[in-house]
Amino acid sequence: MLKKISIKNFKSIEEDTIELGRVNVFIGANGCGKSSLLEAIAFGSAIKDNGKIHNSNLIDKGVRIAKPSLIKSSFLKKKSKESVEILFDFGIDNQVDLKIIAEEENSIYTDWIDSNILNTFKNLTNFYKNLSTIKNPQDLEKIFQDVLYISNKSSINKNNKTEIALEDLKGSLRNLVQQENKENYRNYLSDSFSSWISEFLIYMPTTLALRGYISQSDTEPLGIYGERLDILLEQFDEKEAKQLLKYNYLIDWLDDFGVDKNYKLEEYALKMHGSSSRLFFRDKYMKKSNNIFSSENANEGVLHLLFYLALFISKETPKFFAIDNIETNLNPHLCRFLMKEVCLLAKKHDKQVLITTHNPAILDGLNLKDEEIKLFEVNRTAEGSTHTRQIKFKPKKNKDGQEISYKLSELWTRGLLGAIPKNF
Amino acid sequence: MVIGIISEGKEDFAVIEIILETLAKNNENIVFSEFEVYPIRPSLFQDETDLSDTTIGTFQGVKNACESKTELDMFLSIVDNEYIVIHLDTAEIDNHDFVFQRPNKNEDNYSTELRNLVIEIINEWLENSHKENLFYAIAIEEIESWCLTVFENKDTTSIINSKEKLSIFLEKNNLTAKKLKCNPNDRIKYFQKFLKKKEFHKIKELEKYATKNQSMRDFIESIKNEFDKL
Repeated sequence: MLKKISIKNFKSIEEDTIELGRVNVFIGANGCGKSSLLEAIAFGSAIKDNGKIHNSNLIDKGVRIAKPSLIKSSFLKKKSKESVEILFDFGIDNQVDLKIIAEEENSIYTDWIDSNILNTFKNLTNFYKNLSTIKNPQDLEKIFQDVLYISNKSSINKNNKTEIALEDLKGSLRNLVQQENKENYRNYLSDSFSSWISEFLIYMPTTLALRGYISQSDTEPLGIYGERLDILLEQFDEKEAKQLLKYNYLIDWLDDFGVDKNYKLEEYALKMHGSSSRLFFRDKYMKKSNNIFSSENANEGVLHLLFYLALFISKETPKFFAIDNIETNLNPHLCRFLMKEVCLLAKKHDKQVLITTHNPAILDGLNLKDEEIKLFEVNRTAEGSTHTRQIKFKPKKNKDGQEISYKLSELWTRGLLGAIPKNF
Repeated sequence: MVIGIISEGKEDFAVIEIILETLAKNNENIVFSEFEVYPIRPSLFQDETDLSDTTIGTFQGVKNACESKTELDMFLSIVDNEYIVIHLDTAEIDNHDFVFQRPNKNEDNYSTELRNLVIEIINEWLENSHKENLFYAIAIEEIESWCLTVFENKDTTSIINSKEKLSIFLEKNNLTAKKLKCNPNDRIKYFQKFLKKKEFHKIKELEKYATKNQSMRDFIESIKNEFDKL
């Protein structure tokens, strides 16, 4: 799991460090930088083995694209810095420290590159230049032996030591150094990064995507807006399906739901042609001969609920992800219950999640006495930079020795947690 | 560090907030990026149902908050929420349901004595609880007299009708909400803007202004002393 994230010079985040738990909920006024925090992580997570970030990777992950001067912090009276810095800390000397710069400063289409690898590329360019000036095979062999020694390779093909093979030798040397360079960077990113961070996505489900009307995201198995929920559910194994079905009782009218495997919904006039979703639901209050309807006709709440439960239960979805505005379309009571279940499911299925919300009811599903569950207030300092602080209770007891606690939703609505606009 | 403010009105909050921020920014014991100020009263969550409560945004509202202690307890239950500033204007203190004897106005230390008496009253309301977490922003007679220090050369404590006087000065100095491009209903933003324009956010200027009002000076000193001890 990711223990800590440090971000410098990304959008409104001049510098911030967050000690993460397993379930992390962020609250704050509109525009305080909650989504930017998620985007900063997604930005760093998009780096590939070649040290580059492409715009398409960022869009896939849910990052809003802008020209470099807007991606990097730009505060009044402060000099702009060249690189976005993101440090992923997995604990016990396991860190990935990225210093990411734009390849084309003035272009919105730019690729980004980690300057760690860029420095190596610069060395490589010099190396190639030097290589082309070498005429003596013995000098070349010496370099070759050095490279082999550094890269811990054991032998050299003796036949290459001839003058005729000079160019071949140079080619082999180039390949070897290039390969070594890639491996070094891959090792630098570490297994923790590859297995935990690189799949990071920001989910922000919309009703239209969940109903199958639009498909804007190609990420698999679930699109970041809720695309292909039906396919994911169809792929659920027995254990996953059983677990999901346990939650049917949360929706009063819901008898059952399923995926139309034989594409019969349209044939039976149960849905129009516009939707790609094959999800259907059965209403327990309706006549058995007439109780099925498609996701086009299902209410928003059930679709969103199903999406979140599937996201946490599935073994195919990322281990580490974010959900922006989890409360959308959910009743406050359902929000509280969903949050409580999300905390349990995250532990059970080894998921780590960052969640933003504007609904106080979400907070009432959080048990802050559990160290894996964390709540953060996000605010803008007097100078405008985004700052995050963890909300924790002081240990306090009443006269009878009982611990005093307050409802988080009430603290927030009274303005005592911050996380509200102060100008009206 | 987070400091909550219980004040009579939103303008009062704005004035106290900028003073706290200026002092925090210039004190090496405070990590300014972790410094926040929240309004506890009047609550920004005041809704249409609350409109029937006529004490909101008044002296009585502050008294009620102190007597119930609920919001103080709730606010201080959270880690990093360290202090609460309680604000009162002394202008209307004689018009309430408790016995209050003002000190002699002609005494040199009238302001400080009056401030101390009001602090005693606040502590009575609070049954002497929370003292270690409290700052007292006692404005004699109105917090507008603290703002008047930016325009006046003399001591502003004895200015009568400081609210009206401040409006006149703001108009004269082209510092109306319209000129500062503020929504006139957004009293917090407007006060923040005009005070910044007059450099309340710079410690040297703030200290210079405070020399022209004893109650403002006393408040600033109390904060500085506490911050220095951290």
